[in-house]
Amino acid sequence: MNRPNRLMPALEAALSELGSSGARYEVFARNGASTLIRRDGEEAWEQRENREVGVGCRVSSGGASGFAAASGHAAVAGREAARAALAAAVPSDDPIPPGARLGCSPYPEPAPTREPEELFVIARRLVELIDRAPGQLRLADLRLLHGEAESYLINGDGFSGRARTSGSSLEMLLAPREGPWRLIRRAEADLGAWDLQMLAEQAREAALLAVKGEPPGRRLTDVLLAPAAAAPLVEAIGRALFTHSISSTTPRVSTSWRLVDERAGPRGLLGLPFDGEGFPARAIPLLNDGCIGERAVVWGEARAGAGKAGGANRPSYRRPPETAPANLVVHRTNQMSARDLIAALSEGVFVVLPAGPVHVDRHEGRFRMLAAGVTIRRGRPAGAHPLLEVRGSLKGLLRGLAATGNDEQSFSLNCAVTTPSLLFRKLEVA
Amino acid sequence: MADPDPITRLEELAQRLKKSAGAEVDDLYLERTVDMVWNLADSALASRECLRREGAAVRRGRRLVSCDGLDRLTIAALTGLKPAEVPHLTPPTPPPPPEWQDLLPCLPRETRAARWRWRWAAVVRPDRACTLNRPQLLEVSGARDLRLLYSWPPAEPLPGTFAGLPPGAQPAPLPARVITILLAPPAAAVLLHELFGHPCEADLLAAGRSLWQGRLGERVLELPLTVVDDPLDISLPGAFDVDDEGEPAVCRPLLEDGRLVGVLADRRLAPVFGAAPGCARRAHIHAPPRPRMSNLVAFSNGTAVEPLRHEAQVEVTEVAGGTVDPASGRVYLAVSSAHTLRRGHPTRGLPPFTLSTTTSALERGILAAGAAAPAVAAHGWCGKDGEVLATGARTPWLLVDGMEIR
Repeated sequence: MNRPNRLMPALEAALSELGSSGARYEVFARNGASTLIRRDGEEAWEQRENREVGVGCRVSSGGASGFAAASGHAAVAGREAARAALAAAVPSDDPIPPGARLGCSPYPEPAPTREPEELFVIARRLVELIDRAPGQLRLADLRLLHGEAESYLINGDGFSGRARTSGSSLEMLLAPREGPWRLIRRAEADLGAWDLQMLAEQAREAALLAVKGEPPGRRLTDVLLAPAAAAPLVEAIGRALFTHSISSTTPRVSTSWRLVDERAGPRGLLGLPFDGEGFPARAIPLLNDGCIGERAVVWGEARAGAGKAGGANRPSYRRPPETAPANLVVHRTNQMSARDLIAALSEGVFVVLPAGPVHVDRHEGRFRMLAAGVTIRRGRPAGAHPLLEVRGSLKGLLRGLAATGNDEQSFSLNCAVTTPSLLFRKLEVA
Repeated sequence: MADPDPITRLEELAQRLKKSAGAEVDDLYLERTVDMVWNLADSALASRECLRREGAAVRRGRRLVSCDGLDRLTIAALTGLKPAEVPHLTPPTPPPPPEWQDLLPCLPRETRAARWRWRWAAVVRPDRACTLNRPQLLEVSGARDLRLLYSWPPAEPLPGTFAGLPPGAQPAPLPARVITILLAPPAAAVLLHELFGHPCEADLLAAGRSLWQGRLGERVLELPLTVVDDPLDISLPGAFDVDDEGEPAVCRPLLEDGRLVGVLADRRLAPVFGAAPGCARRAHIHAPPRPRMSNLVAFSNGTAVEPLRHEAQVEVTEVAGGTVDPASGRVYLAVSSAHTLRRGHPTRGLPPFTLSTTTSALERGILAAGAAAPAVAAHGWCGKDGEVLATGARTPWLLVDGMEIR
């Protein structure tokens, strides 16, 4: 990160305050900067430059523990966070891992710092490419974001680690002349990774695929989910596996699944050297060889026998570490392109994009997704559905995966998700 | 202890911005928030978290630059003033959060977490400076991701339990068909928010992203329903006295007796629509102000006080969310809790399902509405392009014909 390090006064003040408290402690500090370029529906350009800086402290002393965070880079922020953490302590087990267990793994170099002008160039090029089909659709909104962050994790037992990350995300709201508007989302580790020509073509194709038509009748059928439609469901599965809301003994798992939380990269986005508590980052297999894999959790849960440590996620200094996925990657288990998968469908639905929020009932393990899709018969399109609903259970998704495509795309959701197209047997559409 | 005269310092800063040739600042926004979170396990306190956040944001035309921290160096860097020119600002000290012992008896059974939030904010413009008053908030989370949002302290006791499908219940689904539905106030609030909240936001109207584009002044409902955006009702979570651009808040009719009459406007777009500004809200320090709903209040004169259950086949008590497609006018409600009705009496619970209709069908399809309504605590967080902020609602039940079960 080329920007000046402004964290030190806050970090040092927190360490000084906690070092003299007699408590066990952990300090996490982050200096994040992001630039967002937007072209809105009035075709006006907007620019945002945000800097988020702050410190989060966990403490444990005398059978009580607490967490607090404060924003800012000045020493007062570090002192406030440390004092508030000590004041927030309530009786509980010590959640802070022993320093001897902590360490760093090799991880990918972050992308270089990007200036706003570079984002403008990319955004303007995308506008040009999308507007090449005048009359068919218009770009109603475009948001291009590039962010980078530098984080420090210091455990009072002697561990200290530093991590640098970067990432870019893109959202385009496309308004076809007829039919519903479509939100296209993508993410990459670096701006330079975008193939703008291909991105624009894929976005136009997705937005114009299903503009007219009726919803399909309610039925169980094979469903091919394009990466954009598969990603939110992959995230729901990953989260359910981490939080143990899918039991490791109950479900049958298709051998086509190979889902891994690639925490150290280089696959997917946001590779890091350590997890949210300082355990060396590693690949955590979640679904593999027809089985549910490892359960990785935060240290406090691991000590209670709920799984292995190393599953902590910490998206911000403002929150304590929690058991959650960080960088989900669905590895392809065959080499079929999405077109080959469509051609292999004798009867089914190809879902190209979500068309609204995806509702996941984690308690019941069920999902509902409004989407845009096309009915396929004997490998050919047989009817467009601008708005349809796909629904079912997360367990059904585990056992029903028949094949994966070779067209991986990445998305920045509540965690990073990278997935190819996924073909499922017998999901309900309506 | 609060600054003895904080507004004087803010006005001093406004004067400096006005005099500084290089600053060219439209406005400077300052915010401090404090959150206290109590996490429960087995009805006992498991952990407590405290979050103090403060920061500043400056706008110059369509460019927003923001930074965490409220110290003099940060404000100087944002505004272009010299550090010595920035007055020593002392935002007020937050009040103490509720005591856990006092809070616990108020919480619904099955509460997983409670979050209290206090916020202070100020807007400094070359022409004025003001502080913003907003209610303290209490968010209560339960199982099944249910969340309730209240102004704190709440005007009425919190419910004893969370609504929703009883755990383990596996009722049979309904066949796909078109029916008459009774929407309880939490479900009606979502429908009306999606129909008359977001689509009346000036930026969406200007960008062609509203289903009411070009229809202002038209009658869009046969039922004489009135929908008002009321930021001045301090008992609701979306309240404020001055908006996030420093404009006074006003109670604003959006729909009057079924006719579209109002636009939610900020300073930039108010002249375009001939509306008063005062609706600009920021989701957080790092987001620019945009026209947003505050508290939605709906009522209809001259209709039945009791819900017309005998007229409906299904009563929807809770929805997970709603979507309106501006291009097609199609409306979706993701129902999370509902039961069938027979002769006005509940018969059996239903699994989650989706209701669909169109705005043209709703024009005649909203048949009746209740008169007065209590505050709705569900769906207190409203998202727009990923920017989430607190909103409130006071909506009656609605009887709606022509909704299709998907």
